[in-house]
Amino acid sequence: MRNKIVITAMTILSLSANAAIQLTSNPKDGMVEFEAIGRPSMLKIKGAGEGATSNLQFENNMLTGDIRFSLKSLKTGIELRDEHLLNKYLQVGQFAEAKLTFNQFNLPKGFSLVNPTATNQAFKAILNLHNIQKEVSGFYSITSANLGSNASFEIRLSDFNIEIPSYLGVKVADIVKIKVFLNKIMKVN
Amino acid sequence: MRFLLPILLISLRLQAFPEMIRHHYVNCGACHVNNSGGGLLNAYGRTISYEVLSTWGKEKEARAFYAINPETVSNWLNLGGDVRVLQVQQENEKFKAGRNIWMEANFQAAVTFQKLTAFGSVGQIRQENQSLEPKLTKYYFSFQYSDELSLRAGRYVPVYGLNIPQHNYFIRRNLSFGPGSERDAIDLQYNGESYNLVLGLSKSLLESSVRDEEQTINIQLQKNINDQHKVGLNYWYGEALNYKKIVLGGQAVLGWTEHFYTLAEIDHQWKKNNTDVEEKSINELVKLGYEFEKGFHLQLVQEWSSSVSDDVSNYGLGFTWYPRPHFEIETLYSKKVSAASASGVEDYAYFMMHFYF
Repeated sequence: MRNKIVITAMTILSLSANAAIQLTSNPKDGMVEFEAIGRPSMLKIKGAGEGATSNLQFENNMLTGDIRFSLKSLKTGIELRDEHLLNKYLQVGQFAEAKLTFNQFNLPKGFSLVNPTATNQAFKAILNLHNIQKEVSGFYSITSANLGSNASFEIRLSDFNIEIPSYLGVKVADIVKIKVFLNKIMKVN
Repeated sequence: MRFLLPILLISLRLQAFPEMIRHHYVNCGACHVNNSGGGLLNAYGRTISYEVLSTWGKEKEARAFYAINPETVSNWLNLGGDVRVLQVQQENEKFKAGRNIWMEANFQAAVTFQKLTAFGSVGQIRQENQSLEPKLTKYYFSFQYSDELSLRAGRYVPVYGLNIPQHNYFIRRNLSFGPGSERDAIDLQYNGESYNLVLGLSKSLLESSVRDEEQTINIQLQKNINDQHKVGLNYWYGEALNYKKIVLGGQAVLGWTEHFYTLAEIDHQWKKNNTDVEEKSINELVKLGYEFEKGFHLQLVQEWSSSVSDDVSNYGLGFTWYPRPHFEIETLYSKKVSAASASGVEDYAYFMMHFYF
């Protein structure tokens, strides 16, 4: 009898580990931040936008799917700079959305949705920005039981055919740091 | 107390806003021609003067002389200047005084050719008769070797401590860093993403407010923390005909939020004169500011100065308002408590209007 219970339990756990689980997040729980440097004065240009959403699938200790973000929500704290950023450089009228696609996102060995934790794990993804796709790599952490996560990576503006922003003697460096936050990811029933 | 008024007359001349670090402006050169801050705005700084600094304003309004389009000349020419007037009230048990003072009127120009910049400031108010003298008071040539590294030589106030406009604060006045203390100087500056370093040499003029030909070495090292805070250490060694002195100090510019900030500095001065008499003193400042509407800052000021001759504390409350580009209004009411003064407590207030064009 005892052996039967153990075997049944192991079978259920095994099935749940291998079965695909759909995961999603609400716009209110997603945020994207970026940090650029304006030279020569090393001006730190920090921007943020809300509304990032995820549509992911968890299967075989691996994530697939994407995170989408409307670039129009980005704000840097200065209206004129926002206007230049969105319209002149990111050209959100034509390219309103950025998408981070995960084709092979391996989670740490022994990862479980019951008690999910991961710290500073490397990842690779495909970023679609300004209508150009390019592989990016960075680090992610899963920090809470409801799959609250953050990921950081760097991009080169020139890789995405984005004109290097320049205004009255301040020129932005080509490399921009990006952070993505998903405060809560839910299972789809 | 009677020494305070003349000193104040020549105070509040330079302008610099280290508290802008709360908007991630980690280096002064973002907005000023001078890498160490203060004075003439560059083209980007003009934009910031209406976008970030002022309550109201428009892009064209912020231009130099309301007319010069920075997009056409900013790469090689920056022009500007200041007119500043002040009203001062002082009162204690034995003394009551008030005065309107024309403090400052100057024209500043900077011309840049490739990596070389020449800067000059013409115009000085002679305080004895409140007349304007067309005198070249400050000038330098600077060579921008890279984004981070620059060399400057000319006549200016060397870098030490917080670069703030209120030169009547103990940390400026008691250390002889007030206006009129421009010196023949040279400095090497590194203004990087995380660190700032200034190494300088200078010699003051006998006719300057230093009143001696002091030869100095000045060093300042600052660390940027999280792009919102900056802490630094300062060293000053001065040797003059009548004295030697060493000043050691620490400073902090803390941008807690986009609205709330703190400026702090403390300095220890050791001075020995020709008769081998040693003097030690400490000067300290903490200033808390809160921008509760764009361009409108409420400020709390606490100062302390301790020396052999006196122990003085000063507590003030005031505001600074930047209503539109080119305009700055500042007022402060404070109570000064002096251990040595017979009158003990003194009320002091100023109202300052500044037009930068």
